[in-house]
Amino acid sequence: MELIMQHIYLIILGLILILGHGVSCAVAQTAIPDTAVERKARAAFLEQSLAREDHPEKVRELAMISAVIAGVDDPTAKATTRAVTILARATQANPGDSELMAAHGSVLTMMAKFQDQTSQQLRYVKKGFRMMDRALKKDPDNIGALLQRANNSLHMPLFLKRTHYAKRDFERLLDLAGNKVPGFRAMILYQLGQAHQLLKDPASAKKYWLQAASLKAGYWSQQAAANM
Amino acid sequence: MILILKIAFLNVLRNRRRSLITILAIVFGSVSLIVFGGFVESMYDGLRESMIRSQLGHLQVYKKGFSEFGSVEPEKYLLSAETTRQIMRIVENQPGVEIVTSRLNFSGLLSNGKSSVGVFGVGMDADQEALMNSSVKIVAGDDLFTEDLESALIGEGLAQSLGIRVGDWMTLLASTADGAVNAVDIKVAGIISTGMKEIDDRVIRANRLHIQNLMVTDSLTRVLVLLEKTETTAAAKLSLEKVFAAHQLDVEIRTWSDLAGYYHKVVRMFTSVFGFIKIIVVVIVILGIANTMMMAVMERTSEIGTIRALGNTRSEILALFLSEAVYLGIMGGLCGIMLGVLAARGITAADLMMPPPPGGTEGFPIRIMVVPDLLWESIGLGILAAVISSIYPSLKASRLKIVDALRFV
Repeated sequence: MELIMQHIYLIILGLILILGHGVSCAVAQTAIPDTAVERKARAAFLEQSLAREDHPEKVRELAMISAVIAGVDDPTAKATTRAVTILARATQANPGDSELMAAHGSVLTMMAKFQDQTSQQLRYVKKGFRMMDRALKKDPDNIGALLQRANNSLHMPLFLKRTHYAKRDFERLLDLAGNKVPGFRAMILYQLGQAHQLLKDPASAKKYWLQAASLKAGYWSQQAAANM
Repeated sequence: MILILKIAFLNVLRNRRRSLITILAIVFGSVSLIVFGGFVESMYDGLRESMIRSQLGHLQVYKKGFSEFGSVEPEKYLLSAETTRQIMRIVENQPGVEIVTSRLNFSGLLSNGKSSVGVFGVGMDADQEALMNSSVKIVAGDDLFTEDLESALIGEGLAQSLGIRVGDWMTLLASTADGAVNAVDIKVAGIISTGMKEIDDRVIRANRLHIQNLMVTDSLTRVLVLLEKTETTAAAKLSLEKVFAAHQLDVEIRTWSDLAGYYHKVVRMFTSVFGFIKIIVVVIVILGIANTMMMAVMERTSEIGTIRALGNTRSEILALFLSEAVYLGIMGGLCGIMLGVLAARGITAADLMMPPPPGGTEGFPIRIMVVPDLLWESIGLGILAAVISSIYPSLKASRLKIVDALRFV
């Protein structure tokens, strides 16, 4: 399960970068180490480095790694709060960076799960989504921001009515992705199918899962085949 | 007395089957109270916060006299731009304040060129309201942004009645502050659901500046204050009243509670229902325990005779049985709390949904709050029920004649 989650998050926050050159020049480049140990070590190194001098690129890298640590390696209140703090600093240092703004929003929505009261949960979710909406308002075709909003919207409880954002964002991603990386395309098709399923449109869901399965592109194609 | 307490405790452990049945009855009662009470509490919390975060805020500041006469002559009770700025500056400096925003309310006609519908709306600061209105959901299109001056959000029912789609241009007509008629074009950025059908059928939310242009005014209807914690509302109101008086501002403050008549009706109704259910549960538990205790007295008649023959008094027999009841009450109450909390967490984690309430358009997730007062209450009621139901059997046991009890087979 952990491996699958890791796979998902790395795709969300990392594979964007593989596509960056081919699809959108707006996607900023941040190399996220592959393993939890490497990420922890890199974060520690960056923190030490930033203690000596402030550097927007390094803060950005630390923020993106912290987001992955909070989402995958150490999904605790402490790590998430820390990620929020670093992302806030990075967003200030890189005010025009839509992907960073979206990552900040995404981690803010994660804070909701550590709140006891519904009102506080909603507050974090609302704040997080506003940041993601703002990021995409500024840069509508930013793949990183689109992926983060799409995935967050897909995994929100249905009563928050965010699934239509997931559908729309994954459709846009499908247009932007092209056919260069079949694994990535399969992931989008699979998630798009999930969005349609949640929107009670099983025929469309099946159509996208069929397309994802027919790509025979590893994990996501298998998942799509299993869903049919 | 210590010896009696010790014997009573050993008796509880010795008669395991009987103790278990009694404890189970108390556990049933405690779990029922904790789960249902937690559900009711969560419903109060959800409704209150939903009203605060979708319409009311914790505090609203108006020009003095608005509450009394504002509905008849709203244009005479607007806050000037300067007063609004002053109020917002003061409020922002208060501790415990999360968001301060201002609104300009209006009513008018929304037209798609073929037909028109009467609407009530609000001109607002899009960025602040997006954070404040946790209960307003975008069901199609996008949220409102300050830079899209002519954009607006339309209620779900209103969009259906006029056949409006995201991206459509509409005409909005309203009275200006001095009574003339004016119109502006608006672009539908998104369609919203507030969860209340009667609101969704008529509501329009637009950028404040656009509505000020429509009404040819720079004044505003109210300043809304969202606090970090709902519990601090009364203290925040008192504090603000003092500061406003010191600044000689001619304003009045209303709390969410003053404005939430519907919430108070719901609370009154459910408090009565919960009280009634509590009585039924306690009666069932008392009857269950009384039956078990009567059986215990019957089973232990010769034992009671022996204790009495050894020189123990009637009151000591009474104390022995009542002590057993207290132990059972404590054990049952503690087990009930543990199981109740587990049940509450489990049901909440299951993400089950309730159907929409009357007048609502959306279901809501079932949350069971763990209320500390309710936990104490349930353990207290467990002990009380055990003691009350043991009084008669204990009296009966203490009044047995020694010779009859010893002869009892």
